[in-house]
Amino acid sequence: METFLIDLESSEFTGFGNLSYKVLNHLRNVIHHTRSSQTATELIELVVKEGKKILLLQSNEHIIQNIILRVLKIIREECVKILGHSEDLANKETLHKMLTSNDFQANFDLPSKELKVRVIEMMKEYKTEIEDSLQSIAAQGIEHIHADELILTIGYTESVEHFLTKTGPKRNFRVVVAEGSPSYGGHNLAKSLIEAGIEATVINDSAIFAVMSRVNKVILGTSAMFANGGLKATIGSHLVALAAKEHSVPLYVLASIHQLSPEYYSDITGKDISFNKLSSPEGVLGFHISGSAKYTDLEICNPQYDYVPPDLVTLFITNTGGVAPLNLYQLLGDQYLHGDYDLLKK
Amino acid sequence: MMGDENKPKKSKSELKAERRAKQEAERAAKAAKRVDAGKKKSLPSVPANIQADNPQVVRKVTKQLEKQMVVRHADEQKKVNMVVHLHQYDRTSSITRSIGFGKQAIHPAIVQVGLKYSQGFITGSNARCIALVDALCHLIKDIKTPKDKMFKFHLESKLKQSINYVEQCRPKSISMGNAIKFLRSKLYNLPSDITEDESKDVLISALRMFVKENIELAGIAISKSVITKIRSGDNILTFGSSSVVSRLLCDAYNSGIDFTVTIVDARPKLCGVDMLEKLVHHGVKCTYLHITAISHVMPRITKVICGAHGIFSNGYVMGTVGLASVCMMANFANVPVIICCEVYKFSEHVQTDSFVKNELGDPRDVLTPHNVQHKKAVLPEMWDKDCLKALNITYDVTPPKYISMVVTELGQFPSLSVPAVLRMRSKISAY
Repeated sequence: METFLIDLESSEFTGFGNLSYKVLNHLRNVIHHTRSSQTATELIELVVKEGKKILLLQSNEHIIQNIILRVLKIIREECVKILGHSEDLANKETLHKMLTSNDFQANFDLPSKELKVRVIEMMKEYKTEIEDSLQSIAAQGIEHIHADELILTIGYTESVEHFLTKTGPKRNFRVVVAEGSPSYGGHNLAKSLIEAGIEATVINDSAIFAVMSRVNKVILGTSAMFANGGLKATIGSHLVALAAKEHSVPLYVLASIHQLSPEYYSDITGKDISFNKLSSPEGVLGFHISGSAKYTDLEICNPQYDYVPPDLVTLFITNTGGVAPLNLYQLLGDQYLHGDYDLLKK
Repeated sequence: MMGDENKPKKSKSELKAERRAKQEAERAAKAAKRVDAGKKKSLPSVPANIQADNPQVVRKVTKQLEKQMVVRHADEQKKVNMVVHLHQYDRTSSITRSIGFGKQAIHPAIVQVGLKYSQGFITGSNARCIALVDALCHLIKDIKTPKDKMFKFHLESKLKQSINYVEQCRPKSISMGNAIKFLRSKLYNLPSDITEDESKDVLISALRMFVKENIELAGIAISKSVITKIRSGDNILTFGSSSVVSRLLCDAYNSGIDFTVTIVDARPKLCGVDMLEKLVHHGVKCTYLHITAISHVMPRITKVICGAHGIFSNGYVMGTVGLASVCMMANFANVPVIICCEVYKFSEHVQTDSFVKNELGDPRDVLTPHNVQHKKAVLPEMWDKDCLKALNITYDVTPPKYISMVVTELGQFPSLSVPAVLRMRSKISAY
């Protein structure tokens, strides 16, 4: 267990879902090692304690918080199911509940042998859902790309790679890939596209505005989605999104449901620096130039993420289907319980 | 019978005169028709450098160049669909291998400047113009007119040959084009009663004056004008490298204003590093980043000051690729954009998008990341696959709605006032 926390502190998590799987596994182990008869409240307390420990080490990744909130909801739902009621009653915030005004108070302090087992099972199901999300998103590709289309994308995201390579054989389209300096993820994406036989044109990020007038659609991947429809995507995405808005080009964002975070970010002035992750300036201006004595006062910016406001996004394509940015709040209710947001913050 | 006697008898000569008059009238009518037809045919000719996809035009140009002993620079074959009509020079082919040494050969100063352009040793609109003018002065000084020709025509043909060669090394910039137009008009207006040496002196001093007035003095005027707009505490954003902007920022620093500069740089040329060096050497406090991170810093920027490659008659600004993105971002964040451009870079052409006329660089420059020692480049080895294409445009065109103000040596005005300035200028000087 301790190795996981050490890993979390030191390593970088690349690859879709790797961080999610690790967090899920860790929580599952923690729950597994408790006594066989548990009350829901005890489990919740345990998960919250572990969650706070993890978040202390890696507060930047929103996915960790999402996973923990989802597990909390799973615990409550399972408890309610064991008591013999429908799992909807665990969620107090639905409109239906308010109308039918059923004063149901679940007793979360009843110990039950089944609870632990069922919670672990549901967590396994959740993990499968995350694993399959890439496939589900890619399967919708054929519905959104028409023939002879020119699609623009920036940087490298696995969801975009899967989406385009799975639709490539079924439909004839071309892709323009902006390289996304300084990490140049776009080059890796172009390589995958060419190996799949799709025509890929690589451009510099500076040419995005010029090329945008000829593009039919922009497809982006993202690191996290916020409850208001905003994105935390790879650096350069805001530039792409604005250029798309200026030229009236639709912007589609591919994201799976577990990336949906209950946070709201409306501060696009960037003063809230905790949102972003600033990397080593080596990627931008090499040490062989910036290391000389005259550059001691020089500030080099190398942020990893960009905030994209919700009014620039046309459509979200998630593993459960297409969603307009203003309707994301409905999915929030399916994933997390409102009361849990504060538990992790304290 | 009776009618014949009543007709006045015309003499033979009168009948001949009548016939001649009729013939003259017919000839005049035919000549007039020919002139009219000739007038209709003289439409403006489309330049050949935007017809690279028309094999007839390419063949014609090759023949013309051969007559002048200039080798046509071959095109790299893999072009992106939308720019097939533009030339994309193949960097591996040489055009100077077959340059000879005879009387008809290109002057060595011109050969040198052409090579410097194509290898990228001289970059920047002003620098290229100054280098070209320098080389032309050498050419004019060394030229020796043969006895059976006039100086004017001999120089004109040599000039044509040299300019064609320079065009094959690297396509002309707007500044270079206007300098050549100036020289041609001066040559055309040379009085015919002066000696060859005097003509040479006239031309060389005119060229030197052109550079002094339009580049050096204009730069100083622009700098004085923009400094009044810079306040203490400003955070100024600039894009890429511009000689005008670096001069004015250094002058502003010298006059004691406390400001910081953010330099936005873009691939593939990464010119911002030169700008950074100049400013840091001077003592200005700087921030440096790539264009992808621009939305991260834009909230703390107070103004954007950039240079331009040229401005078209419809108010669109042509600058290094990426300028349009920077101006759009600034517009979104309500930050004023100031473009500093000398008047000699104004063009009479109009253009609204970046593809109808542009310069294509080497596509392989796009495929290699600049920090190669960290990341291995994955794409260059796949270049021979048909599916992979790369687009490397050198310039892009910014719409006037993103630009707050254009500052020139003649004053400050909005981007759409360019044709008014051009008209006024043509009334003042022989332009």
